[in-house]
Amino acid sequence: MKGIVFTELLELVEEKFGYETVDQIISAANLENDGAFTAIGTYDHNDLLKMVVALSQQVGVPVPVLVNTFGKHLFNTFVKNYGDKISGFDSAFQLLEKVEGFIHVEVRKLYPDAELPTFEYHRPTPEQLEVTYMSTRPFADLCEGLIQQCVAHFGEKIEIGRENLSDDGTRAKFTLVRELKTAPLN
Amino acid sequence: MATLEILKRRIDREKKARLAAESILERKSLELHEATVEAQEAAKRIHEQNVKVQAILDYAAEGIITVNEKCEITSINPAGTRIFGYSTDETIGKHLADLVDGFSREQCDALRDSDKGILESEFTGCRADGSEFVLDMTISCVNDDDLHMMIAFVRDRTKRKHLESQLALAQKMESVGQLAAGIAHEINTPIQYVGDNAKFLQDAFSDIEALLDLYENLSLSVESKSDPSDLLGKINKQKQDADLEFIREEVPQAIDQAISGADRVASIVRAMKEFSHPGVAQQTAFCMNSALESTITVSSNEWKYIADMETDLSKSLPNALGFPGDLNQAFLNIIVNAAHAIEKRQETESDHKGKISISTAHVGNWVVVKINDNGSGIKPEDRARIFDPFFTTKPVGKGTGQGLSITHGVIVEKHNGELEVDSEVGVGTTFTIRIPAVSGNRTEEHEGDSK
Repeated sequence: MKGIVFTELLELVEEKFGYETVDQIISAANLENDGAFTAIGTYDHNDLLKMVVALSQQVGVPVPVLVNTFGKHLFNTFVKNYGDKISGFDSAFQLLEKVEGFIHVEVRKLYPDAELPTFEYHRPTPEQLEVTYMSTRPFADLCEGLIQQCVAHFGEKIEIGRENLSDDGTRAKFTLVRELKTAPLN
Repeated sequence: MATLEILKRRIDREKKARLAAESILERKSLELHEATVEAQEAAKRIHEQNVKVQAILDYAAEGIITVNEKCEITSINPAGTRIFGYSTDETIGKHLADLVDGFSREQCDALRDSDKGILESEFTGCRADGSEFVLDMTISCVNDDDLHMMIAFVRDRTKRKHLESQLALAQKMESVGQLAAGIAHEINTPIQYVGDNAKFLQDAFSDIEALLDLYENLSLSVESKSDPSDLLGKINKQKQDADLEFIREEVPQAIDQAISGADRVASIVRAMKEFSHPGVAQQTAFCMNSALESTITVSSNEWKYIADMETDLSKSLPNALGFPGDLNQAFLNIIVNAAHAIEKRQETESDHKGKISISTAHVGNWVVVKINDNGSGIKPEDRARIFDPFFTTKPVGKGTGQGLSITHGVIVEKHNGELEVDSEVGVGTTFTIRIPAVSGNRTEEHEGDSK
């Protein structure tokens, strides 16, 4: 998993709970590299899970909630780092539909060894989008947080439904229904 | 103290992370350098390939033209500009049909949509100065995902055409040479009886002249009222000596025979002249029956001691369209082969009566010629090769293996005609030749039903 995910998690923990908590969860997770993460490195995703579990125990917040929150934070980081690219999209549907065919293609140019999740798309109606998340890693909650923040970023009124396709968080289908804009009554 | 410890650990983590990042950067820099070197080498290879491809295009003897989906020219190599006499700028954007007469936009569309995607044919080229020339063009479609175009390879056939016509003429003259002894013999017989009859007429006239002298003296004697008895006696004696009755009977026959002999010589000479005519550059409408009759006449010494010749030439045959001189050569090759096949059969069947049958008919848009013999036939294993150049089953000195190859070239390639062979060993062979008819004349017949 790319190092930016690890460094951003630690940034988020420090921002929300302070540097002491960062130190505690690193110590509790008993990581091989002692928590020395760099954004351009590549690390075992289990290290991330260990830190999230440690954080959960430390702050008493369930793991899914923490991962979901982290997903939202991560999207904001992407907006900060790649704002020029994201500003090219007009809507959440437009951006989400380009993750597989455009964003992941660009990621692989920079990181040929990146192990990325895959997404499948279906548009039952123009106002509906089904996104199916598939990964070797159990980060459906992270994906949900990313999608929620994406919708928030574009300021759209979209209802997000989730159907788990596996018990371990490696596969999930998200159904996004955009609220129809109605013409004002005269 | 606890805070200090935490900050120390944090600094340690940051240092380790920095070192890790530096190590990654160093590795990435090396990878980037290697990738750059590889890219430079690839660019060099691509440049070398480009230079090579450009040199091939620049120095190719053939014109190479690329056209887009609308059949508009997008590039042309120097040989192409030389062949057509246009500059590159003048050529780009023109429709290929502007340079290659006969290559229509419809053909272009059909070629693009076809499975094979390749067309190879002879066309008429149009030069910038307005002159026309014969060219061979092979045009193929490129249908890749991102690239749709056609590539035309163009060869100017002007020189080759000239050489081919010279070769064809040389081959015809060779045939004329080979036929010369037989033709001399053919002419010798009528000339001989023309001579014999002339000699007889000379002798007869000598006898009649003496009689005429006596009649003149008798006339003078009657005018001078002299006694004519002596002269009448001389006249009777001269009549008996000259055998006047015989002369009166034979002279008309002798004259007829002399005229017939002279006609025969004239027809042989006319046929020879027609056969050996250098030919015409453009296709012409001609009478197939006349062409066959000329060829039968000049080749008669080749078959008349071996076989009977039967002809069944359609009276309602339309003119054919083509090159009669070349077809004469083709028919001669088939007739001579027929005679050789019959001769070969007679080696084992001495009492076999040879027969060559030639018929003509109008079927569809074709003038159809059938040449049949009851010779030895062609073995099945040889049938596929009989039109190959230099293939012969004849003994050394008798065949060069060029005859049927030339025949095939003349009929199929030069006339866009058809040539079929049907043969059975021990029974005989039939060649069926179909040549385009001049459209819109005469009545159509059924094949094999000529009258």
